[in-house]
Amino acid sequence: MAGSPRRTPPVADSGPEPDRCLVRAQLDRLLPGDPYGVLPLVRTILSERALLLDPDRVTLRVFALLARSRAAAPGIELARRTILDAVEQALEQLLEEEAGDLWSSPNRDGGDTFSRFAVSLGLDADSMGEARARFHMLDLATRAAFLHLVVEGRPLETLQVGRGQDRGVLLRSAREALDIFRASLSPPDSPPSTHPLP
Amino acid sequence: MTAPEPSRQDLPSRAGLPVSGEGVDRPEDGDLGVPAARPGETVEVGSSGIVGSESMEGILELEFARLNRRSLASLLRQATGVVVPRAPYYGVLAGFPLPPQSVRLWRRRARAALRLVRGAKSVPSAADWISQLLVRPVERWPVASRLARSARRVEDSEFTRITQGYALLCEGEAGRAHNVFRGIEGCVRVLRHAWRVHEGLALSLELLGRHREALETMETAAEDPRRGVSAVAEGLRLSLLYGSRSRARRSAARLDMLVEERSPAFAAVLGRMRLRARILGLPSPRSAELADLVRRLAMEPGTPSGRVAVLLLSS
Repeated sequence: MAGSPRRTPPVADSGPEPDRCLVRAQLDRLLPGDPYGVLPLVRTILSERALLLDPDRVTLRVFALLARSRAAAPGIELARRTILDAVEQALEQLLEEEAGDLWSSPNRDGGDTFSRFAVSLGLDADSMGEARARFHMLDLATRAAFLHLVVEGRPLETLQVGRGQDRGVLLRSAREALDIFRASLSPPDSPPSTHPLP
Repeated sequence: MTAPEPSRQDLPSRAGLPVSGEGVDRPEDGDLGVPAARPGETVEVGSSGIVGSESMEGILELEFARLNRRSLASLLRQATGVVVPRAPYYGVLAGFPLPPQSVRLWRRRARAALRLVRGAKSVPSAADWISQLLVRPVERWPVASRLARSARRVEDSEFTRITQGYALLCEGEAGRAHNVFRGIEGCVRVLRHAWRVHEGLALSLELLGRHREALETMETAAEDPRRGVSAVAEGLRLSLLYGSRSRARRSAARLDMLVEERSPAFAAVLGRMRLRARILGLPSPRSAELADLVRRLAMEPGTPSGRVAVLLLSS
């Protein structure tokens, strides 16, 4: 499997589905001590993709996906590619679900770390949730610039830019991303506050 | 896939299209009572990390429950793709957001999914209902909109709502389709397929006789960077019928710039427009100015805008 150029199909949809006992058995192999390093991998990918998702939540979804797919082929060693595909699938699903949760479960008190953080500050979890979902609709360069400049507070000069990109443009984009979160924090008529962006 | 052409005797005229007005999507007799998705099936995790956590069992059960719901909602959504070609206006009013589905493949996927979820506490009704579909001949399956609504009750997502809206359009239920799209419109800022919502809403508004709103809404769809060919082409059609000359010219230029004249997607849109014109009739442009623009565009039938104009001239 390693080095195979062919993309592995979505893990939860591959082959005949096993029954639940086999799934539980696979979970027992995947979980203790995280032998396949799923959580560190998830953290790395979330950082690379500049996504504001709870790494624990993503990891749980990955475990669930892997357990379902591995139960169909219990004797085969778990390949790195399969784990990466499961992470991709988990991210795609959770990003879809975060939008759907906004209208299917209003007035939640929030169940993930991000929502609980918002609630602990007296903020409305749904507004923050919507802001996060809108943030995730932005392009990667904008998200990365926002995290670099706003969340991590690093100087503009250290922001890595790709070919054809301009730091000034990314700065403006980061400000727009910041406005998405500001809008969820401020009452409608309050004046815009300043932020120490460069 | 081309819908079999219904006879004129089976369908009402355009004026008599079964428009249910601004009605509410009411539960119907025979709805098999698929329970709505439980709100906020989120996962409590400790800040110290999950690996080795004593609450792992319960936490992962929630994730499996969520995956089960996704799986079953997806199956029900795909089931709409199996039956929707039977809908009277399939291939007429709007392109369905799913390709036609093979019932054989659907049954295989359904059996596989049911082996996994059987016994799970969270989705007994949905699993039972899919089991019923497995043993029924497809001719006795519920209509597409009922299947789509059940999918939405299992998992209320962007995809299940959009599927429900388009299923209703294919069944000629413009009022109910309007309600579904309107219900999700407020969330377009976080939708990955917002253009589909605007397109569906625009088509339902047109059927309800709210032409100006339809045009504005379709323009929103056409301006969406992720839009499909249909939104751009329908945007031109509506501009030429109900807009202004300047707006229609911009729409024509946009269509010609963005769409390949020979693209299969554009051909499919034109096919729907022709079928719609034959079955429902075709209105005329609302002004002499627009009618003149239609004639001018039709002089270049090799362009996408010219082909749309030629179609409008055939009224």
